[in-house]
Amino acid sequence: MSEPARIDMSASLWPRPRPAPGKRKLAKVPYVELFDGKLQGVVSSGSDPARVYVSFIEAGSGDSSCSTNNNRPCGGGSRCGHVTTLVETAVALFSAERVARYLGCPDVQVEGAHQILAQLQGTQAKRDHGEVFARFLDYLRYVGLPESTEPLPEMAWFHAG
Amino acid sequence: MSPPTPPHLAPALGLVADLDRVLAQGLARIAPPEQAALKSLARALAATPLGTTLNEAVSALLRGELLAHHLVALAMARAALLGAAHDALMEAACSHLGYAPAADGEQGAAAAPSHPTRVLMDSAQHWLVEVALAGFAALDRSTVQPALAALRPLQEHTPLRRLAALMTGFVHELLDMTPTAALPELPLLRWCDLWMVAILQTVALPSPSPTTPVSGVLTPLGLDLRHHDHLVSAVIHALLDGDSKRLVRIHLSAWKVDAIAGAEALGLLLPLAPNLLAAFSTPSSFEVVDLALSRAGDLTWDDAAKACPVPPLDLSGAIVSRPEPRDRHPLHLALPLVAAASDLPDLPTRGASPWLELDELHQSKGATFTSLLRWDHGWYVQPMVATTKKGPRGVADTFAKISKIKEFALPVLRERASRLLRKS
Repeated sequence: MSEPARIDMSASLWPRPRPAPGKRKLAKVPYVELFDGKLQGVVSSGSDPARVYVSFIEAGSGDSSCSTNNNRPCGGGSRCGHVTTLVETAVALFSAERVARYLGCPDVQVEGAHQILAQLQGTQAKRDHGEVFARFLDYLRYVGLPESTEPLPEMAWFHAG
Repeated sequence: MSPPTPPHLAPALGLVADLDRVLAQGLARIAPPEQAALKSLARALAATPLGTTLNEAVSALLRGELLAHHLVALAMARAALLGAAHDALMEAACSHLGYAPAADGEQGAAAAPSHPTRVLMDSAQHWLVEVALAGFAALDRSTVQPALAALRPLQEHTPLRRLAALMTGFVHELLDMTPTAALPELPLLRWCDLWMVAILQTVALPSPSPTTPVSGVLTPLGLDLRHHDHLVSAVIHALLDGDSKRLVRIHLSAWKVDAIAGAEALGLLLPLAPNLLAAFSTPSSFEVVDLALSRAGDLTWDDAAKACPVPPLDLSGAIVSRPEPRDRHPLHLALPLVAAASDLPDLPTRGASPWLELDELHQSKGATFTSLLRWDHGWYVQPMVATTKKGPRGVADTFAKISKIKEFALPVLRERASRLLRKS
């Protein structure tokens, strides 16, 4: 039961260094996250500035879903451009290996979104997108919280992001 | 030449490491090696004020009485060991750098939390107990994810600001790493630290640190930038020369999202103290009058303070405040030192935020560095500011970048979110 060899007792107080995130086009993909067994987010329409798509792909099954802010299913099928863009952005932000691992790919030593998508079968699923939108709103509310000039000693553990 | 390592540090940290192994396996089912570790811990601290409480807690846990206050006793023991380590390290560092540690003081009593505050503390405690029972080596998404919903009320509750900052970072970090059984290596020491600090803050609010008014000339020395995905926090280290010469700290923080990083994240702090922060680009000191300085060394800044030329800097003999007793951990040791590149102690250099762009500056031979002497299983030096022939570098460069940002994340995010609102 005990696995002392695996626990690095010389590990320091530092957070695990994360690779610097790649460049990100926020207007194109304003929101992307790995959450609750899904890679999910919001992708802007290329043609209509007023339209956004809410998309996700499920870990394990690889089922995906994509529909507009007016709840119209995107016509692009289970590997529409929005889902692909979402995976590409996640790879740039979180690393290909982490995304592959999260989605349950058999081979996590991949380099890009295409190699991840190729490993997932999945079909188009009909899902409610309210939750993803709620997550985006929950994300945004952080910037509405007040700033502070009080000491936060606990942030000493959060160095070098 | 680095400061000496205090004697007795190793056995104290060894006890902490043994306890951490128990927390890795989880307290729900304590196997014989972990049982022995807990008994050793109780024996080692038997003669201390915690001795009776800890002994009762260990006996109870070994009988399977998995109650929150017994887990809290373990956290208290761990904090006491690390607090003693902090104190020994601080003496060694101050002696080495020629600083004068302030006299120690009694910890004040914390205010009793109001009922809504108590409810939030209990909710966080409940989750922290679940985590300790499961063990860090076996955390699943299902154990960690429920804590997300508890973050928002914490963040919106001012008395629990510190717990909110900590929990937000901790919960998200754990969630990123679940299932932990699949990790090749656990950052165990770190997670046990975060767990310990968090659970102790669910027991009682932080004790107030008494303040006194201070006046004199304040010279900013450097900026220590900390951040996780949801919060950016700067500590400005400064020398205050008045009736006495003291090293003080000024704090600025802002909540954020992961899309706000680098110069833009630092920019979130700019409105809180624009004149103070400008001093990192155009060196300046300030005449301060009757600002509140806490016993722990935290200064309430007034950005209307009058600027004045920077006097010759002499840190020798400066008074260094001690953190409040509950906040003593080796990681809180951060002593400014100013040295030419060639005079820096022969110690590892690390810990500066990548957003401060200090990495290449090690190469600048003519530079003077203002750094922080710190300890993390060994002494090291964290650079803050480099002063070269071209002027101040580091945070000055980051601030300069702010004016060059073409597209700020926040307006983009808000505009895109507005498209998701249903037209009704």
